[in-house]
Amino acid sequence: MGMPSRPLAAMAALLGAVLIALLPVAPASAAAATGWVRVAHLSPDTKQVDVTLSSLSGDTVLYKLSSVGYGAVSQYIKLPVGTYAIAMVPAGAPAGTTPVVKASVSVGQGKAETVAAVGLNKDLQTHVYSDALGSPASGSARVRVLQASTTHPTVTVKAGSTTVASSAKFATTSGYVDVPAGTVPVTMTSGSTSRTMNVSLPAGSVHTLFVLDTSSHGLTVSTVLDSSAAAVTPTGSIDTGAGGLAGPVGLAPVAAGLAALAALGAAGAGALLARRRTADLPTR
Amino acid sequence: MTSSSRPLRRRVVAALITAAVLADAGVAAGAAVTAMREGAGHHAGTSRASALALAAEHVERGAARGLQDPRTAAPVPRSTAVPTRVLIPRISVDAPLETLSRDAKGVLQPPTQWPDAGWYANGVVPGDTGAAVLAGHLDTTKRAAVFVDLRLLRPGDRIEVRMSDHRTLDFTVTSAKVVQKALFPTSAVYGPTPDPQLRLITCSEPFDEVHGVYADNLVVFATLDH
Repeated sequence: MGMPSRPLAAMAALLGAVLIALLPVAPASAAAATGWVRVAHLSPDTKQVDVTLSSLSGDTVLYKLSSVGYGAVSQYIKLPVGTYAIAMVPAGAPAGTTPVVKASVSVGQGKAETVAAVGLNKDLQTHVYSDALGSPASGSARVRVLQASTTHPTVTVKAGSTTVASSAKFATTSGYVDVPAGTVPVTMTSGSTSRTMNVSLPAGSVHTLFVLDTSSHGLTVSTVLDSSAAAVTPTGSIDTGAGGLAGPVGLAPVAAGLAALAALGAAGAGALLARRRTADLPTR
Repeated sequence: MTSSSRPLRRRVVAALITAAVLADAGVAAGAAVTAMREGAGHHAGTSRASALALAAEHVERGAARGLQDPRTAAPVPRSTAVPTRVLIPRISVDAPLETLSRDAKGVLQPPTQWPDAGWYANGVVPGDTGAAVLAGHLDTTKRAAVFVDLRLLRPGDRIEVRMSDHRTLDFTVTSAKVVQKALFPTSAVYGPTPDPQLRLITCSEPFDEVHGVYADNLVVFATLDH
């Protein structure tokens, strides 16, 4: 039964070996493709709204937020990749009420979007802003500006000594920049108006600084968390094994050993474990 | 799709009174409607009716009378609780958590005891926004260790994390990935996430006999249930 006479069998064996080799990786391909959307009410003279997020056809309401007031930014809603319809109606309005604003948003895999209603009530607009999920430098915080003030057409924003947005226009976002983490003075300047507010920017955090109006036509900032990473990022991989299971005879004897251990009963096993906990871990 | 849409056309409908009430036009309008329903044409009638007419102009689009003060976000403080235990029913893991830290070179150090898992404490607290990282040994030189069966986890499997404040956090596995240690996906493991997530890390074959270490890591990704 030489190999040359059985090419198909040889190929099947090879294929089988490849498939077995691939098996441990299989779960990765099973991950559902999802992204995130959050909703912001940034219209200073619009009262509270109810928000619905629906399938694009509008038939199926997937998510509802009630009584969302000026300045509020929702939590991120995790959604399968696709396109969705977002509508806002005055808070408490009955089903079927014509929305105050409507928008559609495309959710990409692993991407985050902010859907915002901006502008004065008589001139409401919706915008979709993409939120970046890049890592701040280890020990730093990352910020950007979303300029939503209707009373100040352009605003310059500094975080500490870092200029985050320079003469940012209404309804635009700046790029993200890293700043030293900690309590940071954020200064908004527009013409002769200037206001400084202290904001907390922990290491590893990513925030959007929403520049908003006040009832007295001044400026304020709402510091909203976009995402968060490890404060300090470890270098590289982690060594979590010493090779006892490695190689051709690895797993079977261990499995048998575990079964035997289980059969010993809790008390006996516990005593054994307590005695042998650290005996054979590598020391480095 | 377009990323910007113009205001919807105003549609002034006949049922102004109904719209005013349902859109929460304010105390004055609501009170006026109540009065009319009761057929009480007494004192407040006219002044409230004019308030109603005024409100109705703006009510359809939910306009306020002027600029409002915004609700600004409160800072999200790091949780002061710490994780104490991890349970993975599918693979019969119920293990205490050590506190893990980095060595002088910045490399994450594994748990000191093989039945324990560990939590990287200078990272994210489980349940907070971001990816909390737990690591555990695959084996010792002689035996299986706490995360020996981690490779058996599949999307949908549950992971429980017990916290020092007696909360139990439920996470669901979304994916798993075997990665070469030399190409460790630092951003995917430690990088920012917009929601609370969890990573479980252990080793994976092949074993590098020369250096006495496994060449690969297995990373399991999970997200907090809501």
